[in-house]
Amino acid sequence: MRRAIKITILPSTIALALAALLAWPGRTKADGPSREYQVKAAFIYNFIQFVDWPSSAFPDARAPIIVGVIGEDPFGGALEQVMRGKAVNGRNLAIRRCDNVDQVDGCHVLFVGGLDGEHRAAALARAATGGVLTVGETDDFTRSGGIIQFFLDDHRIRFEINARAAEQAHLTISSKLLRLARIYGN
Amino acid sequence: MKTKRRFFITLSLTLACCMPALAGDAPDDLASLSLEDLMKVEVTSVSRQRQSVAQAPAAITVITSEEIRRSGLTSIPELLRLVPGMDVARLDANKWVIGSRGNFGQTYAQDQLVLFDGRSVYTPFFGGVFWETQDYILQDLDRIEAIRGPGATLWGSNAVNGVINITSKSSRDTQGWLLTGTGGNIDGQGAIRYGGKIDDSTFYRVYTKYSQTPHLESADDRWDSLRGGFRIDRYSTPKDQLTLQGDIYSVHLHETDSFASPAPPFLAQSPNSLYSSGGNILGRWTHTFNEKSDMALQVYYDRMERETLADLSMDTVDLDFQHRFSPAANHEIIWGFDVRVMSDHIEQTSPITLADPDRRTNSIYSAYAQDTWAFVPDRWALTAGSKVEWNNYTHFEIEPSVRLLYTPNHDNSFWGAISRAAHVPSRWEEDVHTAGITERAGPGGVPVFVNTNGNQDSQSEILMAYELGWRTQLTKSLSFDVTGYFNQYSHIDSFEPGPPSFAPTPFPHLNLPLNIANNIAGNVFGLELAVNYRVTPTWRLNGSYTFTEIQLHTLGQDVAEEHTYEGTAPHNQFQIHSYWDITRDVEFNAHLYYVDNLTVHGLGNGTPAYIRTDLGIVWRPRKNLEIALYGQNLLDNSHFESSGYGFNVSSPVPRSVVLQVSLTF
Repeated sequence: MRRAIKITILPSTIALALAALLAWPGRTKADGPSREYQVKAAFIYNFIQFVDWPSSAFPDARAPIIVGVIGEDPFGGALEQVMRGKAVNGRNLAIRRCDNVDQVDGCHVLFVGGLDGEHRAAALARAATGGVLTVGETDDFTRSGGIIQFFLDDHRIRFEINARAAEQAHLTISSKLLRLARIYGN
Repeated sequence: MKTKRRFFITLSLTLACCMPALAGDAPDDLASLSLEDLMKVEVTSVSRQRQSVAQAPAAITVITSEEIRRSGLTSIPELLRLVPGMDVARLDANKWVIGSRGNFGQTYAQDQLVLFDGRSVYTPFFGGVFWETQDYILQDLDRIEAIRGPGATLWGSNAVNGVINITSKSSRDTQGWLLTGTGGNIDGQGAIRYGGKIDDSTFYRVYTKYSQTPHLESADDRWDSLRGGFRIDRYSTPKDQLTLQGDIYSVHLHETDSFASPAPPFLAQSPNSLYSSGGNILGRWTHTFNEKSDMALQVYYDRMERETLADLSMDTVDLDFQHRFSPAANHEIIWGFDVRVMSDHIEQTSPITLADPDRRTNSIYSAYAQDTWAFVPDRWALTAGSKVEWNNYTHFEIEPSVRLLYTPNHDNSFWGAISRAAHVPSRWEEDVHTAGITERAGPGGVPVFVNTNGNQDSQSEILMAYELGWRTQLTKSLSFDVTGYFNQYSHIDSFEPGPPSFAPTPFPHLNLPLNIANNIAGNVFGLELAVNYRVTPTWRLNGSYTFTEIQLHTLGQDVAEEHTYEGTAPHNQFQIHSYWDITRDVEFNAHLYYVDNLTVHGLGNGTPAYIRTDLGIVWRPRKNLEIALYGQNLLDNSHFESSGYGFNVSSPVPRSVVLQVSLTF
């Protein structure tokens, strides 16, 4: 009797598990800005406060800091919510959705969403010429020349900085930001 | 109070995950957070592992690595003193009875489930924990999470009065060398750890630790332990974490036992030496699908051996899977299953203990599902679910719970819960027979030797628990948490006397059989209050008060045990902890613990109330060097925390001085 129960329970549990395993991926989609991207938007707002751009990056002393998003936009409005009405060093913040690489010019921050390798390389190359703080979240983002890469650690968001790429883009990153980051190449 | 306490402390309960409440902070609020604070915000909530304490509809406490470091305590069981409402009674140098909300049973706290990095360290031999074989480099512990009250819906049987989860740090956070040494008048320890990386996303550490305690005071209870282990963490993608870890240990310990003896006074103390060794290996894969969905798959193998009054050995294999997802807006489902197979051998080595059968392979199959429905988003959430479990002894156990959480604003939450939990009989309660384990005075001065008999028809002890709780952030620096509960138990172990028989040799005596049955029932109720007060940015106080009342009655012939059990928990307990940063490099820590008297505890006649005071100063002369000096139990020369358990003779805890030096590079 005991043996019979043992045998029947195990396969059925596994079958149930397998059925669910096959059924679940992609089942859930977050509504509105997800928590993760709300927090990432707040991170980007913080990054702006700890990075100095060369004065040549702005047309004039009152020009806004432009935060661009290229590729897929995962923020769902979170960037606007975080940055609305905010100013850093007397400059307002503006958000730009870049449909193509040409629109990268003039951005001060560029979030590179899920782009394929070729398009991403093109966006990074374009950004590298103009003092743009590039931010991404794919595994090899810093390795590919991006400046800041988000990663998840124990369900918390952390970031890695490619200091050499920042230097090449003529950006000065404050030591405080560097201290909190994982440094690429170390 | 927009920046409501950012205690996104990780937590081992999925009870009510209420993601809507968790996501309740507007992005505006997030923008006002510093980078350091943002790095603490949890963005996903792994079932059974992550949840904001402030939003959990259960009585939960998290002891952080900072609090562990600043306690001055030098072992895992001692660290549990920091948990509000936890009753930690040190029997002798190497034994502890640790539980919350009353500790029933003949052995150590059989209703308290304990896990270390997801591996159960609760032994099904007798129900309880062999604390002397649980150790780690304390600096490499991440946190201790304690849930008071039943957690059986997620954790299964024996999570009756509480669940303790001890978690070690990821090897990514323990890179480099750590050399640490502890010395004092009651113990000495030394440990070495090295953490390195295999590649950019794979980290490891290896460690070894030796510790020795000469003996506490009266009884011979010296012990020493040697252990070592490793942990590898691979972050193959930002959404995947693979962990492989293992430990081995070897522990020698001594105890003084009191057994029936054929000559007057018919009870004699004898020293015994025990040896225990074992090891474990565990693999875990966690994957995050998105903010609302993740899964974890875990497998472990554990072997333990113990040479004592009988030679025990056990092999355990466990497979555990859990998955969290959101099938519809405002719903979150957690489900999972667990298969555990335990194969043991109890070899008779003395006339005192016999197990029949001497080998058993027991299995537990369980599955659970629980839904949290935020039916008024950010305000009301209802959590309901159940575990269904099958075990060899009592077959099916059903352990449902219903929890309701009301969060009227950021600073207050109210919760209530009704749950059912089961303590499944241990091997000892089922199959073990003891002979002459103790003596009672008989008619005409004839000694009566007591023999106990396990009962293969033992039933599970069942708890129906009713809990109410309130958490509030009164000001930015002052918060408190209060929980009241009413527990109804049935089928608690009793010892029913059988007909005595006369034996003329070697000395005329009566043998009295006591047969284990489940005839005790009754109620336990109590109140738990915890306060956290940040007086200044450099001085923090926390305190707690716990009241426990146990009222049992017997339905059988056993009139002794109900009183024994009623005396197993102190009526009143309180603690005050002070953490003061005098300068950036110097800290002063003070701890006060009060434990009420125990009227009856095992063998003896109880223990008087005691106050334990620990004071410590910590100095960091260099960034990588920490020197700490603690005086412990300063107010008295020594005190008993227990008057013995079973046949173990207890030893008082003396005043002690501890010097700890830790170097990292």
